[in-house]
Amino acid sequence: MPRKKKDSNDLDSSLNLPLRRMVVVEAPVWKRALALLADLVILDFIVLGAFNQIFNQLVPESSPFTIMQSIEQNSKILMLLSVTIFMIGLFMLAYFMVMEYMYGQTLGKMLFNIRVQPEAISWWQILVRNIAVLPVMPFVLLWVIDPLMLLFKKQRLSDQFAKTTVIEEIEVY
Amino acid sequence: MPAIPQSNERPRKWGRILMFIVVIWILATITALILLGNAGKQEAANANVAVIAVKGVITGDSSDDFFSSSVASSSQIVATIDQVEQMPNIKAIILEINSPGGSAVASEEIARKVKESKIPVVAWVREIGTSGAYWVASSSDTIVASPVSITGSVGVIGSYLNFGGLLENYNITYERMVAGKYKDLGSPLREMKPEERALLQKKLDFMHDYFLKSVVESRKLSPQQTEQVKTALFFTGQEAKDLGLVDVLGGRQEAIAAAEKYINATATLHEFKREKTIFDLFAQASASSFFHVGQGIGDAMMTRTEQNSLTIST
Repeated sequence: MPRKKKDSNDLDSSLNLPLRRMVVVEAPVWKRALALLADLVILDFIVLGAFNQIFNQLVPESSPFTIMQSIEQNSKILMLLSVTIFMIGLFMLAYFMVMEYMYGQTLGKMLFNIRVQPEAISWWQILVRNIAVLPVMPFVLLWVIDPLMLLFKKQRLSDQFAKTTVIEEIEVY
Repeated sequence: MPAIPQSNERPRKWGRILMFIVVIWILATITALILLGNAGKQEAANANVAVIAVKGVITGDSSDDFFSSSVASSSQIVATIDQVEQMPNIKAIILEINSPGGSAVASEEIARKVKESKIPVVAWVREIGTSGAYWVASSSDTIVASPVSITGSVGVIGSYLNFGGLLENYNITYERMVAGKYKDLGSPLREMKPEERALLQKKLDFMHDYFLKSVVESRKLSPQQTEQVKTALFFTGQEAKDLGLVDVLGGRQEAIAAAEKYINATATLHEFKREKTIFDLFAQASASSFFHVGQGIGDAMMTRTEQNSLTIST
């Protein structure tokens, strides 16, 4: 679905105000991190909340070591847990993909006024840039690589593959 | 003057976002429900000790699920014991009791089922296991209770509020129209006659004797112990142990250990609960305040309805 461009200058020009211009800059890392955090909080309510009961039932109340041991010993529980975690990943992926395709930004990005570029983004590009959400090898490696790339190269590896960037629009007069 | 741009676009956009979020939430909940069903079956198939909760006021039916989640329904508990008995892997039952008692008939139904159970039953009294809940516990093979828990209270109560005086103050009269002399016995709208009081007391005494007899038989109490229990006084776990009303002092671990003695193996527990409906899961997933507010109002309504009529409870 094509997104409409903002055109706030129409009103300003009729009021004879100084012209406003939008300057596009690369979104700062801290804004991207906080936007992701906000998205995770939202997803915690809508996705993780629903699956919470399964973890309560499958994971015994014990020390982490005992929990790991008892899960490893029971292959069926291990499989069920894996399916649950994968389904959570799928729902999270669906959230990021649909929001970015429809509006170019997730709710977290809206909060910090940052968006994904290019505007005419394809489903394939969105899938590639969000694939790290799926808790499956080798995509989980991106959990380490992406933050490091973002810190040192200013662009995640997933963004490089998808040929996308995250930008911030700043109003200047 | 140019029109203000995109006046309808913004609300529509947020409407679509909200709808999308709701759709994700519903789909996630349905998926979780399907997986939860599998998880429950898996855990039950691996367990050898069934945990069945008797929490809240003991009632007969389970029609009041939504507003009164803190209710122990005898029909549900009996059905769960039946289900557990059919499972070859389940070798013992732990009844997790946290209830002040409730309906005499419902308590007797559970107690009878526990007594007739084909597999050993351990009653674990948590904070409170009095009256009807103790009736249930006394029918089990072993009773475990914390030294500071409350138990006992082997008695029957039929008290109710009498609104006769209040109605009189407001010049409202009770037009008695009955076919059958005692049809409105225990009506809260008029004063009880001495003859009626004696009749009702006789019935309460009969129920008390029946209840007491069941406890005395199950616990094999001496006449001295029976005299103390008969007063319907409640006891702490420690006092109850001294009186012979409790076998072991302790909590969850002691209850598991007692079950392990019967099965001669390490206990693997599974809590058998009412099958979750899709509504239950939505309510749980939302965990929002409206549900708890609703529950509070519902409980209050239930209590008020019960207070306004004569109910005999243990």
